[in-house]
Amino acid sequence: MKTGFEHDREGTRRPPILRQAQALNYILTNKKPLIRTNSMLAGTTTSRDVGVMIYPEGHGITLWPELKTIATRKIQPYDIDEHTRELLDKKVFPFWSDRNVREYARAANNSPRYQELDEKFVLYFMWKTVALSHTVPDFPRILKHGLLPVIEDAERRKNTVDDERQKTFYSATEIALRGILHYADHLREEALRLMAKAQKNGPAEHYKRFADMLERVPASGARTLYEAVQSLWILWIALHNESTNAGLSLGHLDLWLQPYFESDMQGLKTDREREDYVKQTIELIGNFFFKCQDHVPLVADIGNKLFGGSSSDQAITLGGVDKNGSSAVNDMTYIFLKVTEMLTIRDPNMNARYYPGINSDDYLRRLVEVNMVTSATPSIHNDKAMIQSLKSIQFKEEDARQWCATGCVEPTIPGKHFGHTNSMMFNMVAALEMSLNNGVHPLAEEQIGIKTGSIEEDAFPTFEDFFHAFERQLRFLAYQTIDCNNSFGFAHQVIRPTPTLSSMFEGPMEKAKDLTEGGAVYNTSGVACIGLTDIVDSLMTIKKLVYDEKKTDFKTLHKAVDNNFEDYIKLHTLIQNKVAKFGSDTPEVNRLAQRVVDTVFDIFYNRTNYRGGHYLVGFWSMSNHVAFGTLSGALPSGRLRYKPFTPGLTPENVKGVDLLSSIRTIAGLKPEKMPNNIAFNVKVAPDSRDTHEETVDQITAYAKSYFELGGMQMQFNIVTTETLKDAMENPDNYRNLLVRVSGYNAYFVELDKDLQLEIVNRQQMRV
Amino acid sequence: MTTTKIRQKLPKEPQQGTHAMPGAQAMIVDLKRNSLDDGPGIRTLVFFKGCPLRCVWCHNPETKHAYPELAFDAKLCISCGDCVQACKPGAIDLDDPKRINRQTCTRCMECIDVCPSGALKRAGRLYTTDEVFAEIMKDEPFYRYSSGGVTFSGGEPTVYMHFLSELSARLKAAGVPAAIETCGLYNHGLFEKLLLPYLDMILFDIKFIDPFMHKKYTGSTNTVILRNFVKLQEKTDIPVIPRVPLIPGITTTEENLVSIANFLDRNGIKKVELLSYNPLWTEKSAGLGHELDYDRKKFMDKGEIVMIKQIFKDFDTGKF
Ligand code: SF4
Ligand code: SF4
Repeated sequence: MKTGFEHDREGTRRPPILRQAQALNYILTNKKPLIRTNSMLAGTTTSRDVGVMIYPEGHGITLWPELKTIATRKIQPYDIDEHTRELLDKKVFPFWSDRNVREYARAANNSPRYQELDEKFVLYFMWKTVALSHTVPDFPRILKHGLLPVIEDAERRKNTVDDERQKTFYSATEIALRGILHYADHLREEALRLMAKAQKNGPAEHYKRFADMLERVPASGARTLYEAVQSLWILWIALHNESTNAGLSLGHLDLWLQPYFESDMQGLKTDREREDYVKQTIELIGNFFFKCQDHVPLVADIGNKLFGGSSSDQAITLGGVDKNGSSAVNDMTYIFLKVTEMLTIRDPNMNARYYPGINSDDYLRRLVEVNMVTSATPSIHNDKAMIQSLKSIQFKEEDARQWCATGCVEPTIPGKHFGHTNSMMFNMVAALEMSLNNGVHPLAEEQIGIKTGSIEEDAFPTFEDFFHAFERQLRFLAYQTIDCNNSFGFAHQVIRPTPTLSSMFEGPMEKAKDLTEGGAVYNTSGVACIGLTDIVDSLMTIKKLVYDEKKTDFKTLHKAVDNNFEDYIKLHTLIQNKVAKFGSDTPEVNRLAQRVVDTVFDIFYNRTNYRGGHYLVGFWSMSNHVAFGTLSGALPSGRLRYKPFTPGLTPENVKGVDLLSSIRTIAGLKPEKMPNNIAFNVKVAPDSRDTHEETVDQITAYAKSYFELGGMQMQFNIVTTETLKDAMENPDNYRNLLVRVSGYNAYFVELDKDLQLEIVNRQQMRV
Repeated sequence: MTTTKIRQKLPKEPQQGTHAMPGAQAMIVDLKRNSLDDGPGIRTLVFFKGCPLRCVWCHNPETKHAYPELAFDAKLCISCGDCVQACKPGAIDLDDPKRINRQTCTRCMECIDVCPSGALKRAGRLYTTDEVFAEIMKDEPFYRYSSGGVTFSGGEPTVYMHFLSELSARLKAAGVPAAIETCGLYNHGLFEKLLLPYLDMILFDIKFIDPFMHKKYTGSTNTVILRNFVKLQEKTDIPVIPRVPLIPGITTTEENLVSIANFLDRNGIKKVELLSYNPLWTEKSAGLGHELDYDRKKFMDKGEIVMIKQIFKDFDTGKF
């Protein structure tokens, strides 16, 4: 158990990065080495076969009040023994109660207002209280050369610099990485021990293989695919022991593992051997997928509402192009797809890149087919649009081409880009509500925003006046989140530097600067903007009914909204039927949507984070569109109080919005203003009279058209509403039913009820 | 058994080609996107308004007449009464189940604008070819990637022969395949010259073989229709697919279906589309103030389906 390592033996306070390195070294060195007979990979993330990771310096402490109920709660219960409970309650949590990111930041900034606002849960959710790890390391380098060269490099650099701070950085790197080698060594010893106990020919062979592999990796470079995957797994364990398992992502694994696959293949002589090898590879990758589920993210009960059913979102990226712009689709791509199809599990979160014109039609069709069979995964991205988007905000073309999905859908340049792509979930609707109420949030019932004018006092003679008020509230709220994020970022520099992760990046070693200090090449922060559809539909209602057609006045509309449209049925009906909605591909609505996107992009992009990078916006929501919805009043869009917002930037399921018009609408938004990506959910219900082939063809046609029109990302839920309703009633029959929430996968039956209903009601297209 | 009430009425309008000058407009009820049932792939359906036949079971009653109509959907109405205020001739009565007095109504359409619920709707307006072409082209990639296209439906699209000719020529130039659904009552000479070169598929209704039955249930005999069908077989290589609307008690008599099967067989045709009866149209008809001529409320039962399958057992009947 971590005890802090705050001081060395002489009682001198250790620099934070050294403290972290020592702690990690200690944990990995003392970690129980576990190898299972039935697993193809040695090592476990926690000290059990499957465990919950507790990071007391992060959000671990949120579990404190729930320690007694955690084993019996309805959603995602955790088993906990009495000894562990005692330990956490009496020793661990008390020690860490002021040594975590949230409390450190609070004390350092004298309980700032932005943090108070954060804790209302209504306005934004700051992921830095949990993790900073939404990124992708440079695994190809470590897999190829091993950790020893990195340790040697750190030693050499340490001896050539004079600066104490720099020396400390290199020492920390060395100490942290040596911890990983200790762990690998203990696993090797365990393999030998098990080998000695086991029968010859059978299990003994199995353990010998581990012992042989661990003799080599991760210290040195992998020679075979098997070694590469084992090495990757140990690195992955180490990274998750250093920093929270929330969104840290695995990268472009098909591209990265293909060289090992090819070199293995070259050594094989007969077709039979090659066939067997492919089968073993499928099994190996399958094992890896299962291993990725051996750790569960810690979620307190409120979190189940906010991030319902979310796993730790370890994204894997497939396909697209390589850094030279050639197709990256290879044998391993199809092996990963096969495994995805066979296992239908929520994590790793599969993301496939498709570059129109460079990747083949067969590949896209296969993606759609796997999506159909699994009913939810992989999510499909338009490589061309994403690369253009990244280029437009000053990523080098060669770098942009290497982008990998991170967490849900967000792009990271592996090993170069520390972009905390999910630094915050930003509720744009709260800004709209405050602009309707002169800065008062109707549910929080207090003056949160600035005073931008009262509808009752006729403060908005024109629609432009109102839009301006909305923009000011949006900016105000965004600046609160930015200040908050920056303060948590500074806290991370003190509380949780990341020596291991830093060693797997370009930049930190050269600059002797941790990732949290801005050591990487690219240093952005990513924002998830929530509620675009609700905002656009609301603004459109105001523009059309109040200003253009004068069918109602603003005061009446405001009263109706305040009263949740009770006694305003006529107005509510009018809004639902006579105002063009986002997703109907109406030019005026499209322009307004783009204007909102541009506005929020500019507000964030023009601010700098604590590492000197830009803030990049995206439009996806995990499950926060439901959580924020339950904390919001009625809206001029006609959405009633407490109802979920629409997920990501998916249009509302209403009159005038059909599948093709919503596809055109979303494809028409400019990717360069949404660099942190989008989540566009399409629920399709296949017609039982159509064959599998016909359905795949039809859905492929939707996807292809969408990408040709410029759309960035789409994810299909291929399932009937009847199935979902039945699953709500008979959850036991549907344990494996996967659904896309907004950017990530979840088991439907594990979701919170509100979220289940939201998914059932999503726009459904018959295919 | 179904109760069938027959009312004879000859079509007054429109006459062939009268609405069809080059560059002219066409009365269209609606465009339906993402249709997957009327021809291959993803399609856009264009519903033309106006038809020379008066089938008693007409499934698209809003497309019978070639003039704009006022449609009322009671399910959507929230009884706010705004329409009553707006109607100058006083044709609306909230207490009348039919709601609109069609004798008094001048079809000024003022009530539509005030109706908040969409319960009152205009059925049909004039479109130019430019407008329809632009609407269709919005979904062009979807057609291309699904081998889909456009289907002209109705009503009877050939009522607007010149309009269609211009539109389908433009679509052909743009690479969008076009299909037509027709009742078959048109001037073959014009059809061959103005339309046939631009079409990719013809879905041709065959309702009866007996001309007296045809006259009784559709208001017109089928001599021209069947002749046009046979001519198409000679004149074109594109698929001409016969479609039989299955109307229980009317077209589904054994005698009629057997004679249709024989007729198709004589013409060497092996593929037929059988359109199952859908009773949901009856409400639509009432909403337009049309009197119901046939109101079976049930879908077809198993026995009926088995009998029909047996008769067409030598044909490719697709997904029927
Ligand atoms: S205006 Fe529309 S909703 Fe109101 S009573 Fe008339 S038809 Fe019904
Ligand atoms: S169309 Fe004109 S006349 Fe007819 S009901 Fe409406 S308002 Fe009255």
